[in-house]
Amino acid sequence: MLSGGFQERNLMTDRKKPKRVSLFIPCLVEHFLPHVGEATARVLARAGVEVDYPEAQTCCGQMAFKAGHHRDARRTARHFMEVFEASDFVVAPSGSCVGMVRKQYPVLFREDAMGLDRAAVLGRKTYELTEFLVKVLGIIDLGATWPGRAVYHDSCQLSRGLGVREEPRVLLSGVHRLEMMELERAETCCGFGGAFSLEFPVISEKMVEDKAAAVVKSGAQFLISAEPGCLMNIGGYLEKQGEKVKAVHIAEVLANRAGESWK
Amino acid sequence: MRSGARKQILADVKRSTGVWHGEDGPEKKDGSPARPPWIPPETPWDEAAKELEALSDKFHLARSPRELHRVLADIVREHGISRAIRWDHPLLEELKVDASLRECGVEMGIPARKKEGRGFSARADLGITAADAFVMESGTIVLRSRPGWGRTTSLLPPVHLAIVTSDQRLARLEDLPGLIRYWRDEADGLPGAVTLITGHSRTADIELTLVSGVHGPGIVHVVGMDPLSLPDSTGLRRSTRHQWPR
Amino acid sequence: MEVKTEQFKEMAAKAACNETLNRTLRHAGESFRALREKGFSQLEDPEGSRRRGHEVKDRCLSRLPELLRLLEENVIEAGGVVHWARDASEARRIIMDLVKQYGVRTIVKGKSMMTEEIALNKELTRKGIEVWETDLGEFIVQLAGESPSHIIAPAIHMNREEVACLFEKKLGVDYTEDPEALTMIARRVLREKFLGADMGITGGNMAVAETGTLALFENEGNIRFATSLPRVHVALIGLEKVVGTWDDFGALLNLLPRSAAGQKMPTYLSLITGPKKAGEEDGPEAFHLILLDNGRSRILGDTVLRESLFCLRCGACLNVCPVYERAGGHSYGWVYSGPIGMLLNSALLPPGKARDLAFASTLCGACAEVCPVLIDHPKIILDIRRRLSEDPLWKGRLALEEVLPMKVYAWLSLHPGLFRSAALLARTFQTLMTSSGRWKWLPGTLARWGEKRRIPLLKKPFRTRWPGLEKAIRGGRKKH
Repeated sequence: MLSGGFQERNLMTDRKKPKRVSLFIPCLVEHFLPHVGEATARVLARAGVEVDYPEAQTCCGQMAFKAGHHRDARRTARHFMEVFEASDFVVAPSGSCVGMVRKQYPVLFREDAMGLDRAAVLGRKTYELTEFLVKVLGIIDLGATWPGRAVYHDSCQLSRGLGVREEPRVLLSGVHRLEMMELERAETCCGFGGAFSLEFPVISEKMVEDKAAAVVKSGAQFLISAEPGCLMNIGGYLEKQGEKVKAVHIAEVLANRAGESWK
Repeated sequence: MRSGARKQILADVKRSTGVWHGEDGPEKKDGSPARPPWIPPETPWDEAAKELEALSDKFHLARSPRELHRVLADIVREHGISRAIRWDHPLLEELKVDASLRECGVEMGIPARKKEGRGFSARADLGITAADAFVMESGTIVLRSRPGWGRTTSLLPPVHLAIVTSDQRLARLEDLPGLIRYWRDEADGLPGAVTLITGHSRTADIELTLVSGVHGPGIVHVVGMDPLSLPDSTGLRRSTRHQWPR
Repeated sequence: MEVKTEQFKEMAAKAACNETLNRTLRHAGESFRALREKGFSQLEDPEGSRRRGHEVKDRCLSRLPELLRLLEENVIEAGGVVHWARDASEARRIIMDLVKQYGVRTIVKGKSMMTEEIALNKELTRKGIEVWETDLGEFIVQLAGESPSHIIAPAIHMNREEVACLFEKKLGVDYTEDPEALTMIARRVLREKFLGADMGITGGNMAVAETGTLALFENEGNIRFATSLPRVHVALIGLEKVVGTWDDFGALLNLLPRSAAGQKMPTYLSLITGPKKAGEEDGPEAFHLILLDNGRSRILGDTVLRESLFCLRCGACLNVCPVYERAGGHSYGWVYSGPIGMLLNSALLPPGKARDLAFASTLCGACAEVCPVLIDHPKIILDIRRRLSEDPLWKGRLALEEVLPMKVYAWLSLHPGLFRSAALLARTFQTLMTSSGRWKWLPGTLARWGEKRRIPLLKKPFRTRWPGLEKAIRGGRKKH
């Protein structure tokens, strides 16, 4: 499981450590950032849990829900709940997807007692990656290495939505040779908002422009986030503007070990 | 008069709100509420001085009528006061404010006793009031409008001076509800206006640049006095201050 | 006020490209945010205070019928008159009748969003009545013929040069850009108006039913003037402003000035109970309180929208909203702007009229985080979106291209096999449409996204990598 030396840096927790985790792979990761899914699986494995991947999963319904199509979202959600029914724990590398399941499924199924019940059960066992590692497993050091200077961008759904702010920071502080810098207005929205960036492109662009400027100003070489959407948005902007800063998902950082090339 | 609207609105609201099962508020409380929690008169004024300073206003402590006279003279000099108005108030009479100011060459006027309307008040440089209460936590002066204690005395002139005695102070803003209820019961109803003044008139509407004295006074002077320092000729020393003979 | 909510997208896009406006709003937001934080940090229990504020509004709104009656009873007992207006036109009629009754020729006004809601000024001016806004920001905006762009700083979108030109042109004064000089000019001009006005019209921050008292918060002193000098005082408030007791008032007093500008107290807090009493030199002879419904009784019965009536009009949500920061207040197209504007405009205007507003949000939640009465803006916006998609009363005609992609995706999500095939199809399409890793062609909105950002390429989906990955980590586990 974990190599010697790491255990004493981890939090003592007398919770029975979970044995099995089902991967919940967000749509954006599935199709655009599959390496983030891979990194997530490796991180969890290194943390000492068994990882499985329910193949029938498709989508959590967030997109339809946020567009106001609750009926469609409910159907998708029912499928989702069925897929993960048998799981002990469900972990995703995304705050917005976990937020959908935990906070919005109860809204979706407000008038459906059975659905509400199932949603409550699922909500209790669904976690975002960093929150799972720190709060459930009590692990803050995975023996990872990532040489360089980086900033961390808080996604709205993870920080304000789920209250997960310290966990990613604690995990990053344990990464060997990684120097974390200050990011101005770290918690300010990057302007993605899913369909928002398509429907209101001008405002969205201004928002990502500001965020990118703050990232560049920090002098960081890497932009780390726990949210795929934000990464695609800010990372995509930085790349198109010819900036050297690379946008990476926190799972990639935590999965990285010296001398390993798992990519 | 338009009872149709009243009836319909009440019906619409009732339909929307249904029945409230929670606890009732004490809106119609009977019996007299407790006296406001005035702080002991010997309590120092430091907190008030700090609050007023933070507001860029001024606090002065006058331990005697003679010290008050000195404070008044300073203020007249500082602001170049030539004309002043004041409340028709027993405390201001007793403190001989008129005499002090005339000695400094200031023309005095009491709007309540003037027949010429607002002309004099509108040209005054200084407005002097007493106070009905003062909140230490925020440096707030509380004024009740009464005959002779006009609302514009503390509003028209560019400088406002309020004389607050140490036995009419409250510690905190949360004491205000109790104070208002006490006044309501004591006088069988609230006055037309209770004005709470915390510092001087200000605005930042132009480019967020702070400017003082946009409509009301540009500076407030609060003078704290101990009623025990007054000659006990009219029984002002006793704490019946809150029910001025009127 | 004229409704232009349907022009949000256009106006917001234009505003977002206005660098000056951007700088101004950004600076304003930062300043107000800092003030608010300072103000709240002085509270013993900031979160508890907010919860209490929420509870007070909830309770008072739930008891509104009795509180309205009690308020009316007490205002009348104090010598005031109470009027009830179902909608904007009724409210205007009441005011016009009062204007006639008292032979009013000049009116001075304190800042009131309500009077914007009922488009009062236009009507008064049409009938030849002189109306003067007296809050400095409102005065500026009135001279400019514009509408206010921020709940507590109406002229925030204008810089000193613009104000200087405006004053020179409209007031005939010498050109000066100095904010203090400009303010003193306004003081002089408006003081004359105060002294000569027949009627003062204000809104009201709260009305305390316990004693029939109207509470008015301000920093300038114009409301004190408007309620002390003219013969008549008319106050116009929405039903939701009524609270039950002075304790309720205290709970909200704790929150409003702090949330707005980091103050413990507003500079002036006027507690008005009826007209002046016999013997008083200052104060109105007549006090008229107009209680306006204009959709509020309907919203009260809406379990989700009801919470938007808790709003104290502090402006904190505007000051943290990244969309407002770029779109500016005018883009929202009606009286209310920012996050609360999305809610109130949607709730008070005909259903669906403010459609774009509900979608112009990333649901970042910064607003809910600062609201002093814990309004959950994102939750309400999401429900408005539901209505706009599924409620016949709200949805209007949805364009096919708006709905189809979503519907297709939703259907695919129910069929994992097809979902997989669709991804394969998309990657095939991608191979045809890209070269050397760059897209050559994309449908409209996606292409637009790619103007400033590198559009990512579809990769071999995660699920195809799982078998290999699974083996690697199972095998690897033994080593570690």
